[in-house]
Amino acid sequence: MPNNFPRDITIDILIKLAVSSILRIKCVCKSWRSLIEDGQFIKQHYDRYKNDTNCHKIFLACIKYQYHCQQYYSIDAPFEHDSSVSLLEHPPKINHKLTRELVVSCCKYGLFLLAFSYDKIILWNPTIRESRIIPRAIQVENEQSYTSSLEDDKIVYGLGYVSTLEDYKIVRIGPKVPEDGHYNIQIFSTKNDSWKLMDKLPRDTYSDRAMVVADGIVYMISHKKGKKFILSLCVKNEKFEEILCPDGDLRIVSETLFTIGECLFLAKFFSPVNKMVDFEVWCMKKNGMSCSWNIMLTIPIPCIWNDRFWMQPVGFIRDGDMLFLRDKTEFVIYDSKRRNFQKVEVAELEESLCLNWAVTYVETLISPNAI
Amino acid sequence: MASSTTGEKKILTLKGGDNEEFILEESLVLQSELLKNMVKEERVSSIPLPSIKSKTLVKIIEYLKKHAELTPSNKEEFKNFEKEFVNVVLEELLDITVAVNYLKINGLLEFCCQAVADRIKDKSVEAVRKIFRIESDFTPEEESEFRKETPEAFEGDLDDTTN
Repeated sequence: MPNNFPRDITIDILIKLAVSSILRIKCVCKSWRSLIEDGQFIKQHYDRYKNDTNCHKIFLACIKYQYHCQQYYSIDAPFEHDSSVSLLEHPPKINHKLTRELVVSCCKYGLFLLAFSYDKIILWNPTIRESRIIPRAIQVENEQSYTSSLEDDKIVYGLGYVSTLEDYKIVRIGPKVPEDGHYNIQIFSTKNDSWKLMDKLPRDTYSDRAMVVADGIVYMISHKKGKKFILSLCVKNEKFEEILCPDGDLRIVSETLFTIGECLFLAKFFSPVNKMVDFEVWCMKKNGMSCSWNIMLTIPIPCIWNDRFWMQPVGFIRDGDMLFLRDKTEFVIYDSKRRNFQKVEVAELEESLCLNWAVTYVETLISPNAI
Repeated sequence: MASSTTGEKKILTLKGGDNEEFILEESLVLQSELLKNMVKEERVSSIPLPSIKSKTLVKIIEYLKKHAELTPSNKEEFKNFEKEFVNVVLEELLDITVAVNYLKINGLLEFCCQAVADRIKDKSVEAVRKIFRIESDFTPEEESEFRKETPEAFEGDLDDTTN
């Protein structure tokens, strides 16, 4: 079959390759290249791999103490001592002077959002080494204190995918408008390549604005008149809603929201007044308009709090065992059967890194410039 | 072939590319969607398959026989057979895959494609080109650009024959 190998079999074969192999094979010829860059192929490929946890990776953002700059790593699943680690090539910077950058969000399609100071953001797929500079948000009057270190002046960002619109959305909240105490909310659509100003965050609501986005809905922990709840904002119909937390009341504990895939999770932590509580991970299920919480994991106090208390849930690995980032220095896995933590030292990961943030993701061929 | 002892069973002749004939029970070829339609609709007793080499056809008939004998108790044995089945030089594996695609033997097609994918996953671009007999249609400028961008693509396994 010289040079006319049937196209349908070519697709059947290439779809079975991991992204790293596909990227090299892209250079074979023009017709293979166009086949691999085809949206349908990319989607089929993602669908094939999304549920195969052996193909999931861990994205790790860290700071090397000597250099004060972010470094990104991809760690192979399953997460263990001899997992292979690769250093991800940094996307081209918008401006080399802008060093204060932060990974703020990731969505299930293997895309990441990097935010720099001065409202500069990049959408990035580290797997295929492609990035897209997002245009600056709409300039609102009195909203100019980007360099301020005040909490009120910070801008926070989130990235999500709205499946019904097949559109990726970037949500931007803040800074506070001094006159009326509101936070502005803007949403960027990758399809329209433009920002849109939305309703402001309700005035009597205080929120730390540490948001997560799952399945096109933005969630953040908020307070109103002493009551704590989760404020949700549906990107599609631009509606706010208040969601009750599991157990109704979160007054005595600290908590954090996080996502795995497109599911929302809530982790309840220690009490600020030294009242220890069990560490609990809850998962939210949406049934149409209503939602319910299911408890996924309970870690009894004695197991968890010695003298450490910063735990970032990364994801579930192997039958409900959970991987955490502890104290920004190490990975631990909570073994739900033995009820203990096991430290995992990944050999290939260099020492003396400040481990800032980790998330599980799937490698995809989705180009930020083609969405 | 086993025709004499099968009594009423229908017999079919397949003619490979080099005119070699293969006589087999009709029930076996029903695993191929293409042949099934020919047999059912056109009631033929001899089917010419000029695009398939006899060597390839022998392999495929071997598979059809084994697959027809598959029962829950010899599943392991069948799995081992499948593994051995694709353990041939890549060129032959590709011939088989193309033929299986043409004959529409769906289960086997999936298996063959996976086997090809496993074999080419670490190959360099040059090796893949040779295996699939593809000539690069990129300009020398584009080609050198790729080498700069993804040097690892050109550094993979160069072996383009057996593995």
